[in-house]
Parts: sequence; structure tokens; C-alpha cells
Amino acid sequence: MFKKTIIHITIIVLILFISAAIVRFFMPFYWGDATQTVKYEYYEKNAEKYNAVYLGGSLEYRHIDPSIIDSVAQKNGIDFHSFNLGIDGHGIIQQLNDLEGLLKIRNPNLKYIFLSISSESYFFKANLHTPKWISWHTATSTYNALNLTSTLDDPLKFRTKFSGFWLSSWIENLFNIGTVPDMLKYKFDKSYLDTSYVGKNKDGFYPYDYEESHLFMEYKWEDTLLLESRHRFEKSDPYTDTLNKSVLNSFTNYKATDAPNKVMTALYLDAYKKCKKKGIQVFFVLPPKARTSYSLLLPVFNAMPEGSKIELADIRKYPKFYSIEYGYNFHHLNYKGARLCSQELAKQLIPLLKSEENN
Amino acid sequence: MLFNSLHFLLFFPIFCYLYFSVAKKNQWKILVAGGYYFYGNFSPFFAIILFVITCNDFIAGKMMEKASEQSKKKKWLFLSMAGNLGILFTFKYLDFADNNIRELLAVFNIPWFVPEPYFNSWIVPVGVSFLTFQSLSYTIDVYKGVTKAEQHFGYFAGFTAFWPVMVNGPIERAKNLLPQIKEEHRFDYDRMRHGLFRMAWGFFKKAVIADRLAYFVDNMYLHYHEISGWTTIIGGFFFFMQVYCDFSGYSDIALGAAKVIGIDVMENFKRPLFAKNLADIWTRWHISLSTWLTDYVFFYLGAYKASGAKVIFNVIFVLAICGLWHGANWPMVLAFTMVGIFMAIRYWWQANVVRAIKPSNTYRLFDKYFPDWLHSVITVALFVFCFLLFRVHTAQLAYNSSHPNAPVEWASMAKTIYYNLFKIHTAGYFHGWITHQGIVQFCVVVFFMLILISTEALIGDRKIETVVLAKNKQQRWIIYIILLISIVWFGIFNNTSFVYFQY
Repeated sequence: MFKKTIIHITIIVLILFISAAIVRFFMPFYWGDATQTVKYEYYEKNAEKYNAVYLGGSLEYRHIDPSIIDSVAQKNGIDFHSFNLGIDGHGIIQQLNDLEGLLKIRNPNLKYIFLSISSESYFFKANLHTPKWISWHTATSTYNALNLTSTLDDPLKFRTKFSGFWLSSWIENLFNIGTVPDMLKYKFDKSYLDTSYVGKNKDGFYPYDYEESHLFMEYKWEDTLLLESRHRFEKSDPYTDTLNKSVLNSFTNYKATDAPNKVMTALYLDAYKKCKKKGIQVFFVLPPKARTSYSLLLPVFNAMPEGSKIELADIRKYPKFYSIEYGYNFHHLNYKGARLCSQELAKQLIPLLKSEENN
Repeated sequence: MLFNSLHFLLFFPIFCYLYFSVAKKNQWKILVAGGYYFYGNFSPFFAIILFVITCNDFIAGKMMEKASEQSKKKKWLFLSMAGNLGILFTFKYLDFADNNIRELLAVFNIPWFVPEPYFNSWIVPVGVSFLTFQSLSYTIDVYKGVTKAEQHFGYFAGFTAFWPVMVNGPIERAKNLLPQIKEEHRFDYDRMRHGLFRMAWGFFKKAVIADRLAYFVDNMYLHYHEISGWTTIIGGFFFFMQVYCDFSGYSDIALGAAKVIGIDVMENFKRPLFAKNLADIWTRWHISLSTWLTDYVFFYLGAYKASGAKVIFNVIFVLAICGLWHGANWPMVLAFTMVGIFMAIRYWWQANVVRAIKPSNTYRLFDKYFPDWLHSVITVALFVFCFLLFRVHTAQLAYNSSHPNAPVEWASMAKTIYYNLFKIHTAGYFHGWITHQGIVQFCVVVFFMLILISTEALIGDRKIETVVLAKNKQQRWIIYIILLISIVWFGIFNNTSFVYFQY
């Protein structure tokens, strides 16, 4: 009797698994997130106009203004048309998943991809059980996440908890747990998609200053969180000093002999090689104001190939990024800061592009 | 522990494995341990309260049986009632009483010594009303001689800590549950199939329908000042369906889980949507509570034996008590009192008017051409009308927390909602309400509600699991797969608790 029960349960699980896979087959990889849907659909339609793309999280979406970089590059005689595909909350694992998806979108002109080195495998817990979070999980991304989480320095309990979240999110996606109404919404009712996500210049860039007046964010709590952190930041909350000291310490204490996180380094190098094979040059950006400690990020960044690194995070070189005048909140720049950041990125990028062209 | 949580998904098979593995003499131990783990998981403090209730009623039951004189028996019954109702009052009604006394004294400018707010931070143990009423029914039954006092503390502890029903009902009676707890239970494949299917049906109602309806109901009450008549009518019906699916869903899971471990628990709902009048709905909705109140309060008051006016008072009084049981707030009491008033009106109508005109041809013709479904529609409409108040208290709290600068009084909110009910001609907040989650969510919830209603219409008063499991293998498997896919794909699984947990 026990054997019969197990067989029946297995059959049911298999049927659920297969039918879920069939349904998922008809969905693009970005369907779960409204911002991502709008930006990727726009990019898909206009892909051939662009030869460069920025991937990452909010540190890219809200900080990198493609129009500034394009104009600087073009002034230097470089054919450069870029699009910002950064999406709020996308850490390393999701970014690499985005890269997989991006490479499947036909664009023969794509020459440059910018990857962000700004996060580990932790994420914003409030996103759990939402299509935004669970819709993109794959066996590979789960394996990478678990592998990376196991190598981090945090307490075992914390890492185990997040590993559990990764696993459960993957299972939720495997069986489409609770996600089908949102899939139907994506297929039949796109009224929820706000084209403002593409940005005012239709280049994927949308700083938080605009967000504040538009407030089109998906979840109300995000607005609240965003504004709360903004108010605290504006009032020169002591937390700003703590963060800045931590950034300063990470950079001053860094030694060239510091060993990088092996899993993280391997993930980025694999992505680099994969793109190289397709004739695409990858640039690694170390953005300012990352939530993750630069003590972890800096050695990984420095382990990347020469000629592919753009560093914008050092508080000693870029003190303005960490000032209240150029900041939006503790971990983001305002529009003024974003413009400065884009100019600095362009400054470092031009020589790299020129040497790339010469090669 | 919530039934719709990963924790329960792990707990249930482990519990079953242990329960069926041990010898008969030890099964009660697993039951008690499981019950305390299940309940203590909400808070260890709750488990202490459960233990206190168990000890109180076990001792009272034993002493009542020992006592030779009626007066002594009465004393022990009073002690048991004082213990149960004292716990219930302390945790659930003290804050309500405190607020009312304060407001009343304020009218006469008399200061109240209890600082404000004082009791509202006290945590109400989950399902304390269910626990106390179940345990209380035991001592009342022992007092009446309906049940013999249990001599084995372990079995009695198994009765109070019977986890499938302990936090959200059905409120079981000792005479049904205790003998079953004492029996030996071995794994039975057929019982398991029946139980699991019933559980799945409960999950379907809860996760697919109730939790999705909650989006619309919450939003309607949040925009209570701008909603149109149609929004109020449809939203009111949605709320009725939400509570029905949420609560009957829990009952189905409880019944199914109990069935798997070999115990039959009383049905708590019998298709209330098909009730033909409000008295009929009283026998179909939360049956374990309505029978409890009928047996222990209504009959105590004299039931229908008294004079016409007294019966009318009894009906309204019992329904008011029912409202108070549901929530320590005036809107809830009023909601059920309104149901009571409608029931009393019907009683008066039946006793005075119908009896007089029944033999006439006009009445026969009217009765013939007034179809059953129209009776049901009117009954549900009246129930929904009263139920609009059911939610006002929590809606007021939610509204005030999101509008701290413009708080609203419950009476003003209720007045506006009832006023809006008649604004049929205006569009108001209707389209926005239907589409605030996207039109797909609205279509999905309406589709599944139709499935539920048609299924209930088709199966009649038979149990769903009996109907499905009597079908041939192919049909059964198709139903299993469709039901599971509906739950997995369309369910909402963000650990939303059950509406009735607060009672």
C-alpha cells in the first residue's frame, strides 16, 4: 500500500512538472517583472540600433545614462549606441541569467556588454513568492546561487536560510506555483506595463529623482522604503558615515594579494569567455554605493582581465559619489550623481574602447 | 502552524508516519505531542494556555462525576465555565470592555483608572474561542450526563489538543471525538484517499478563491467612500464568498486531515449558498458553532417553547452572542444581530401570516412559481447585506493605519457603505476596483467561483470526496490532476492566515 501511494504521488508530481514546463516554454525569461518586461520588449524591438548594453541592478539602471556615454564616445569617433538593461534588485545570479537571455535575443550589432560587480547571492526577502522573483529561476542559477552562498563569510544559519530561499524559489518556478494568473496577465492584459520604465530618452535609464515624482513602482512598499531611506539620508543620518567609513576601509585595507571569492570570480570569467566566443567584449563595472562590502567585491573585480575593468567606487578618488549633494539615498545616486557617474564611466571607457579597436 | 504553509506540508506526513508506527496504547501520546507542537508553534505561551484549559476541564469533569449532589456538580461546572470564559474574556474581550467602560464614563465626565491603551497589546491566543468552546462543551455534557467524565488525562489532552480542529474548528463534541481518540488507528489507504482529496478541496477553496477574493474585498473597504452601488453589491458577495471559502476551506482541510488519521469529525458547512432562508443558513453555516449555541444557549433560554415575543428575543439574543463570539467589536455584534432580526421577522411571518394564508390558492400558486433558486438568491442577498458590517472593524483599522491623518469611526464607515449600496446609477469606483489587480485576476476568481458553485449544485448534500472517489479510475485521475493544477498554478501561497484565526 505504501509503495502504491509513493507511485501515485510520483506520477502526480511528474505530471505537474511536465505541464508546468510546457506552459513556461511559451513565456520569455523576463515576463515576471514589469520593469524588465517593458525594457526588454523595447530592446527586443530595437535591438539592432544598439551595440552596447549595460546589465545589473539599480546601481546601473539608476546610475548609467547611456546618452552621456554615447555622446562622449561619438565625440571621440567611436561608433557607440548603448541601452541600459539594469533592473532594480538584480544581483549577480540574476544578472548572469539576464545575460543568458540577452544573448538569445538576435542582435548582430552587439559588441559590448557591461556587467556589474556589486552584489553577492543575497537578495531582498520581500520579493520572495512574487513572480518578479521566482519566474526566472533555473537549475543553473540555483546551483550557482547555492555554490556562491556556501562560500560567503556570513554565519551558517544566515547562509542556510538564504540557500533555503533559493531552493524554494526554484521549486516554485519549476511547478509554476501561484504564477499562472500573472502569466495570463502578461499574455492577455498588458495594461499594467508602464512605458516610463524605459526612461525619458528611451534608453533604459531612469534616475530615482524622476521616480519620486512619477511613483510608478510595482509595490507600494517600495515607494515607502525608498522615500524613508531618502528622508533619513537627507537628514545626514549617521549611517551615511558608517557606510562611507566601511567603503574607505575596504579600499585602504585592500592588498593585491587578497584572494578573491573563487565562485564569484569563476562565474564572471565564464560569462566573459562566453561573450568573447560570440565576439562580444565584456566590461566589468565596480559601481559606487554598493550594498555588498567592497572587501568582497574588490578582489573579484581586480581578478578580471586587464582592459575590461571600470572602477567607479573608490571613495578616495570619487568622494562626490558618497556625498549628500550627489546622493539620492544611502545606496543610490541622484540624477546629478548619475550624470557624474556616467561621465566618469565614459572617461575610463574611451581608452579601453580605443585599445579594443586597435586590437 | 498554518495549514497553508511549508511547515505543515512537512509536519503532516511526519505526524502520520509516527502516529501509525506506534502501538495503540501510545497513539494518544503522538496526538498530544503533535497538538502541542502544532499550537505551540504559534507561540509557546499559547501551549501553556491550552494546558491550563485541559487541566481545568479534566479536573472539573472528574469532580462532577464524583459529586453526588447536584449543587456540587453545579459548583464544578461553574468553575469550569469561569476558567474557560475567564481565559476567553481576559484575552479577547477585556480590551473591548475597557474601551466601552471608558467611553461610557466619559459621557458623564468620570475618569477611568485604566490607562489608555492598556489591554490592546495583549496577544489573543489563536483560535481561543474554538478551544474554550470545545472544552466547555465537554464539561456541560458531563454535567448534563450526556457524556461520562474521561478518567485518562492523556485521552482528554488528546481531545483538547486534537490539532486538526483546535484552532479553527469544527468545534467538536467530546461524545463524538473522545471515543474515536481511544480507538486504535492503522493506516488505511481508502481513508487516506478520501482524506487527502478533502484536504485538496479545502486548499482549493482557500488558496485559489478566498485569498484571491481578499484582494478585491480589501480594496473595496479601503475605497469605501468612493465605491458605487455595484461595487458594494459585488464586493459584499465577494466578501461572503471569501469568508465561506476561507473558513469552509479550513474545515475541509481539518476534516480531511482527521480522516487520514482515522478520525471522523463533524461537517461544518453544508452548501450555505443554497440555503432557502436565513434559518436554513443557520443550519448550514459554521454548523458546529450554531449547534453549540442552539444546544447550550438557545435551548437553555427555552427555544421555541416560549411565547412568540420570547422566541423572537431568544433568536436575536443568540445571534448577538454569536456575533460577540466572532469578534469583540460592535460592528460584528450588529452584523449578527441583524441576521437575528431577519430570522425573527421570518419566524413571526411564518407563525402569523403564512399559517393563515397557507391553505389559500394564491399562496399555493405563489409557492409553486417561486423557485428554490430565487429563495437562495434572496437569502444570500440578505446575509450579504448583514455581512457588510462583519468586516467593518478590521477595515476601519486598516483604513486608519493607512490614513493616520484622517481616521474614520466605524459607524461612519458603515453608514457610508450602506449608503453607497443604493448608488446603483453612478459608476463610482467600479472599473478601477475590478481592474486594480488586472482584469485577469477578476476573471480568474469569477471563473473558479463558478466552478465551486456549480460543483456544489451538482453534488448536492453528498460529500465531495465520496462523489469523486466513486467515479472510474480515468475520471478520478482527471479530476485529481485538474484540482492539483488549479491549486498549484492559481493558488496564493504567501502564508496568509485564515480569517477565522482571530476568533
